[in-house]
Amino acid sequence: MKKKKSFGLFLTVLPLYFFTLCFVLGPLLYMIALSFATRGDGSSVVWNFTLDNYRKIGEPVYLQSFVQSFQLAFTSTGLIILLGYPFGYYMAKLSPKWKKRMMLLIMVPFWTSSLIRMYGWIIILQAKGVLNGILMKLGILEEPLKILYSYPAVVIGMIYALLPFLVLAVYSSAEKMDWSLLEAARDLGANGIQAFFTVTFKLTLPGLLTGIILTFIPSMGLFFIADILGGNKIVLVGSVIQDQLTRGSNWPFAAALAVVLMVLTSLMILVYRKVTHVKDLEGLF
Amino acid sequence: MSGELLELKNIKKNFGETDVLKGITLSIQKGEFLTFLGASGCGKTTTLRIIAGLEAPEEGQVLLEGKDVTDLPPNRRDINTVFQNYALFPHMNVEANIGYGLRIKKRPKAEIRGRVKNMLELVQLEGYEKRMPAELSGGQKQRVAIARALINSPKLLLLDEPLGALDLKLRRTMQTELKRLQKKLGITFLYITHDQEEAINMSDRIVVMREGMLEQIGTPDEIYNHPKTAYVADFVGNANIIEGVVEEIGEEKIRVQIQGQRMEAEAAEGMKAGEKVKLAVRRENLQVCTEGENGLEAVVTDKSFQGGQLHVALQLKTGEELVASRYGMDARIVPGQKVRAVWKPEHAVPVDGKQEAEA
Repeated sequence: MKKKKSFGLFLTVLPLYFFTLCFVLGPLLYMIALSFATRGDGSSVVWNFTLDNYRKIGEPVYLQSFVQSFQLAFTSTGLIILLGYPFGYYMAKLSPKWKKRMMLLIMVPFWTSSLIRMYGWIIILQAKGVLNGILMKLGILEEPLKILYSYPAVVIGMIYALLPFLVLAVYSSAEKMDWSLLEAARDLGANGIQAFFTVTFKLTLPGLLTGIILTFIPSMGLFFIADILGGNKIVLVGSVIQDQLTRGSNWPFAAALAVVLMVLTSLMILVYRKVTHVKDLEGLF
Repeated sequence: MSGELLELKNIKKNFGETDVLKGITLSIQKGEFLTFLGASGCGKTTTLRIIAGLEAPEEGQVLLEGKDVTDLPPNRRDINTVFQNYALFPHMNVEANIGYGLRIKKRPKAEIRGRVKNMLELVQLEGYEKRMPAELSGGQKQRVAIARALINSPKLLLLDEPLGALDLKLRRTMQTELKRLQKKLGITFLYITHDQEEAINMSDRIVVMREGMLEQIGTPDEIYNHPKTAYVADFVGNANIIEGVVEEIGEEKIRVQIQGQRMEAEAAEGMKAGEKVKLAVRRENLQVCTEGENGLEAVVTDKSFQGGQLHVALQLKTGEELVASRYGMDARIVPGQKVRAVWKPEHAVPVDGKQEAEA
């Protein structure tokens, strides 16, 4: 009986294993192998072992794209935390009815392609756009702000695209929290701020970290936002990789860039976990 | 007992349309073990939360040692609470949980360690310092919760049904334990329960609450043997309530006419002959006689044997239902049998008299 049951279980997870092997592990290994190969004619690849691709990453142009990517990721993630943590926290305190409504409001944007929504920001941010129009009508501005095709525009786009992930992660961990713990802390002599930092913050930390990872990693790669809202001023690793794959036709070099990016982000996650001692990342790891 | 510790003055509270507390006035003496006894929803937890500062009353005042603390937040009252669900911090070990209050007060580390150790000894949890709450049994969590509150040496300790989640045997042990702690430390305990046995076992005084009001305040003996209202008699003593008419009033006893029978009961103040009266007779004091001419005529409707006790359900001629309990089996009593219900005069206590429970 028991054997049968475990075999049934095996059958149900089999597609998952198959999928993981074929579409995650396979391509990953292929990409790593590719990063040590050499570019041939056109898009072809010559399979001889070399470290040239990795050496090439050391060139200032490419190094610069890594630096810019990290800067942007840190800035956006930082701002997303400041906006998203209180949002998710207070959302968990709402009545069930309002929780549902807020959830719907968060989900609605996902019904439209994120690419299209980014173009929407152009309409808002451009010189004669909605934002400048409103600010000038209100008399706050005399001259239109040049936000579009600048660093702030890219940051706004990043925040807009990734905020929901952090909000939801914080919300899910704040929702599980027993609010009577806060009362206990107050009862034991803690003022509101002390109670928040010794109890609430600690207990929602796993959610916050999940949220940070869910925003930090994509923000390293969401190059299309930088392309659409940043003009050509901000070149992210993602753009470079894309460029090498398409116009550059240098697949091995693109693979090397991707491997380095992956290693760096994985390191970041390790550092996070070491610093915060959080083991349970809301089911992420 | 030396003087007043806490005073509640006409506390009123409502949640939306429902009045949860309808004017609670009460004073608690220093060093006393006071229990709020009442069914769920009677407002006892709300009263406790108002005393703790976790809830604000719409009206009324809370005075701690004569000082008005009604508007003070919980962290600025010398009152600590043992919560119903323990509310232990899941991310802190036992040591950190117990030491929380002292850490917040920024006491020196050595002092915290020493006092935590004392507390662990007091609640008999030595060696559990590094355990996490999730690794503790219900009884152990309970002890940690008590230690965490007591370490702050509060003037008043509030306990909200602290033994509710424990099994019967453990509950008995913890009752004794809590009483021992209270005596040893001399801290005033305000205890909440819906369990009359618990209340009677532990308290110096019991406050019976009902629908946001105080029904009766008194020692366990007063509450149990001399209930003032039918509600208290029923809730605390599982008493039968029998209606009759006062016939004759004596020094210590009164005669009451019930179903044309003359029965005797305890005398109470403010009684007049010819008036209606309600008598409370506890189940174990109601005797079922299969012979004789005295007592109320009744028919046995049901009989069950539970926990060493025989419960006999009776129906009077008026249709009123009574229950009599006694130890041991009695084969002579069978359903359908005509019997007589008898009690000793001192076991029939007039309730719901003119004088309502003092507010």
